[in-house]
Amino acid sequence: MNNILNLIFDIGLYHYLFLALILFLIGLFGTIISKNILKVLISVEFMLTAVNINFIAFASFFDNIKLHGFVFSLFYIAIGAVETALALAIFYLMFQAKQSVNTEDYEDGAGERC
Amino acid sequence: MEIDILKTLIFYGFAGAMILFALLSIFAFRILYSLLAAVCVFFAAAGIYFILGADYNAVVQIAIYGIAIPILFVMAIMFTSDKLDKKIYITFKPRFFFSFLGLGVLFLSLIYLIATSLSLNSNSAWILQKQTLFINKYQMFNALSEGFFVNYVFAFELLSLLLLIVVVGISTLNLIKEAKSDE
Amino acid sequence: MISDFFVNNIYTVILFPLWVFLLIILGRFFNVVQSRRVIALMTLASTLYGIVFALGSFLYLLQNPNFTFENTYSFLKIADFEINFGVFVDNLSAVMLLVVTTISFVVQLYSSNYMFKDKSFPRFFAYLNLFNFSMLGLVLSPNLFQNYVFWELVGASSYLLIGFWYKKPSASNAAKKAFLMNRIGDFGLLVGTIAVSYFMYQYSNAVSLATVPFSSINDIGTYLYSYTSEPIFVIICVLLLFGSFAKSAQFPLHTWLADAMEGPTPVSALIHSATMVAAGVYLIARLYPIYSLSDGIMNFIAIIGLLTALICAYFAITRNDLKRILAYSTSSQLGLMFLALGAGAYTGGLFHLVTHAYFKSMLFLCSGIVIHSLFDQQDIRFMGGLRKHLPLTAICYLIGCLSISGLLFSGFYSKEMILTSLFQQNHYLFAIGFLIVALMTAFYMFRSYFVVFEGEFKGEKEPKKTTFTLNFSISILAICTILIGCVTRKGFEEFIKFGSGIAQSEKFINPFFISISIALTGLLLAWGFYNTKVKAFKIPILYKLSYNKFYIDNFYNFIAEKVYSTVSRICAFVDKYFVDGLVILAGLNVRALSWVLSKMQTGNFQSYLAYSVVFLAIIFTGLMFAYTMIIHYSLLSGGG
Repeated sequence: MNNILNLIFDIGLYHYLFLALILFLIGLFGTIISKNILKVLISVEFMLTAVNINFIAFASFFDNIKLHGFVFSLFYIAIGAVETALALAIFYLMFQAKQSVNTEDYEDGAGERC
Repeated sequence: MEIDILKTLIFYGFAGAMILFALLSIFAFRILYSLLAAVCVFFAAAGIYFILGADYNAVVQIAIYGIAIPILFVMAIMFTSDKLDKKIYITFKPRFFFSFLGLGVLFLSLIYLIATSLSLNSNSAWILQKQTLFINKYQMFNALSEGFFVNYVFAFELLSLLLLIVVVGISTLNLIKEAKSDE
Repeated sequence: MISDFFVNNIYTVILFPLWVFLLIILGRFFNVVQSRRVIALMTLASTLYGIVFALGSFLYLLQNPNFTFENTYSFLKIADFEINFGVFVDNLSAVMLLVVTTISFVVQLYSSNYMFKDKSFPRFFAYLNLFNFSMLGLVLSPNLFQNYVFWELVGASSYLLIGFWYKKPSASNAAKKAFLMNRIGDFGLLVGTIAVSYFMYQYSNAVSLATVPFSSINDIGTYLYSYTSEPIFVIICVLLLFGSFAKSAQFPLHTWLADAMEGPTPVSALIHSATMVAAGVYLIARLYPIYSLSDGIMNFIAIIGLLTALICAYFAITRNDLKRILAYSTSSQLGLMFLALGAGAYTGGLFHLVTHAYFKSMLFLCSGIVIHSLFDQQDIRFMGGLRKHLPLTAICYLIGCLSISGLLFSGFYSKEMILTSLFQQNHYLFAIGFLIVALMTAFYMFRSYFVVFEGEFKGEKEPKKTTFTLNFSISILAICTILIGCVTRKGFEEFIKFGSGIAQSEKFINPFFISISIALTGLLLAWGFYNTKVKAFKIPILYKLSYNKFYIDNFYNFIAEKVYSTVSRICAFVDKYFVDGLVILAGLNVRALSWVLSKMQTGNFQSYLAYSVVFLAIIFTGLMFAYTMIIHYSLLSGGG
């Protein structure tokens, strides 16, 4: 009992990994099920954030001096920003073509709808 | 064993808020609500960073994810707002259930794998390892600057190049678009 | 005197007809050789060449007793098992060679006139050459494997020639029947050949015996008898015998020969009386050292032969088709040869083979002339009184009848030789059966003679004249029939013998008078029944039995139609609903899978992402189990 309480209340690396995993899976789920393209992009950002948490948690627990994880996390944030900007630009072009934000309007007509 | 209850509470607060808002973001009816929830998630992530001692990362996260990117999204929503309505929500086609099932299995198996791999280690106590050495802020900035300007200077330069390319690329895309619409 | 040139180059005899066959076929194909005269001349030349060489080697062998010639080359080599093809000449094959080539020549001469107006004359001659090639190859085979190959080839050419008028349904059916009946026998022969080869290869120290060469057939017989247990030996012998039975139209498989008469008459004269059907007797003579080791096998051969001779003679009595009378007569006479061989009258059986070949082919050619002049009328009830129109044919037919009944000429000598041997070896039961057959033979042959050539003409159209070539051909054979018995009788006993020959013991019964009187009885009966005013009486049951051929054909048809088709229907049912079902199921699976897969190709990127998630989940689940197993076993083996 005491052990389990310790496991729950004594915050360690495991908790961060767990949190990142849940966030990642939620992001993935949102990517799959969302109809709105913008929401898909937001879900992708969730996944990026989850990875960032992993980076920082590992660096914080094992790499106290060099902190490579922190550096990479910053890189990652920058790349995420770039990716979002680019994705929104592409989205804007697509929207101009079809006047729709629904992902199902962007199927290429391959087979029937699932 | 001594438990820092305050830290535990902060962590759970941030983690709970993060997951809650993430779910809210996915299942929100309006895209604007979902964006707001996402901003909350990003802020909570910044909080998690802060707990882990990555102050600078937290600040950058807030600056970029908390402010800059949502502004981009808001602009995109404003562009397309007249086409948005509640009909565009989430899909309930088979992929919903398949992915739900798959993600559930993935979740369980990953939990199992993490737990097993950790327990296999000889000093299995490190699951419960604490942040024994708190990060000195001076050391942190030292390490970051060393990382950016010494160790990963090429990556840093490449990143700046990438930003340049994106800016040029986006404007080119619009130029092509305009050229097409002119014809 | 005669040099060994002919024997050394005997292989050209086989190759010449093959060459002519190819020339005709390819010449037809490329429009090179189209003249019928050229085709006939080429064929006759090739056969004449064969006669010259056969005569040369025959005379050479006559001068050099116990001489054998073997010339082989490797045909197929599997490790140390080597099948040789080539030629092998000894006394037996020299005699057979002479018989085959002479009869072939006469028949080809005959058919060059008989078939001249037929549309497919070149095809007919091509088949004749193919048959000639395969028969000569069969006679000259050095081992059982080559024998088998040419055995099949004669079967194939027989099939082609029976079905020569393939547009006639009865002809094509008869061809199929002959082929299928022969297949049964060929199967037995093949299995037997392989079995003998297997035992030789496995147990004898000489690997060369594995191909069953005829030159060392005595050793093979002894080895085979000593290596195998009695039942195995009997089974192998019976399998080998089945080939002979089918080819020579013996009892269980005799039905094809009568139907084979659907082919042109020269074909009946050549293949289905003289040469191919004699191949069964020839093979038994070849493998005689093996069969003679077991008394049971010898008796089996004799009993089957006697049975065939009896029932086929019985069937021949009530036939109305001239050619079928002769066909059943052939079957019956071949049965007598089997009886002679089985009862130990080796020389007599083979001598009867030779004499029978001449007079039976002559009879067939005579019947061909009759049929030809009556505008393809084969039923003897519409003939009669033809002696005035076709005097030479009538004389030749009479010579043939006298000969086959054993009254005069060659048939008398050969039958007397067989009967003497039977009495000498104390086979009284077989001798009595032989005499019954002789009685029936005389009866049905003279019945046909009296009905066809004596009395009054019952047909509608006036018979047309025959030609010189046809008369010439039958005259040659008539001369052969008259001469061959008395000239060669003494020499033949010296030339062809098995072991030390027949023991010359005293004759306590002279079979001469018995056989003559029996045959004369038959003649007189036939004369009484069919050439006088006395009305022939019929015993209904016996007549009906004979007319319906003991219902053997009906029985086979019943098997083919009812039993076989029932089995086929069951098989078809199984095939349709089980095998086909499986196939359809397989197809449906693929269709269903493709339907699913095409449904999966939505074009929506989120769907693809979902599939990758599912796949990832599967991988991680597997990984989880693998990990658990590794931990489990490492803990077990590592001990903590």
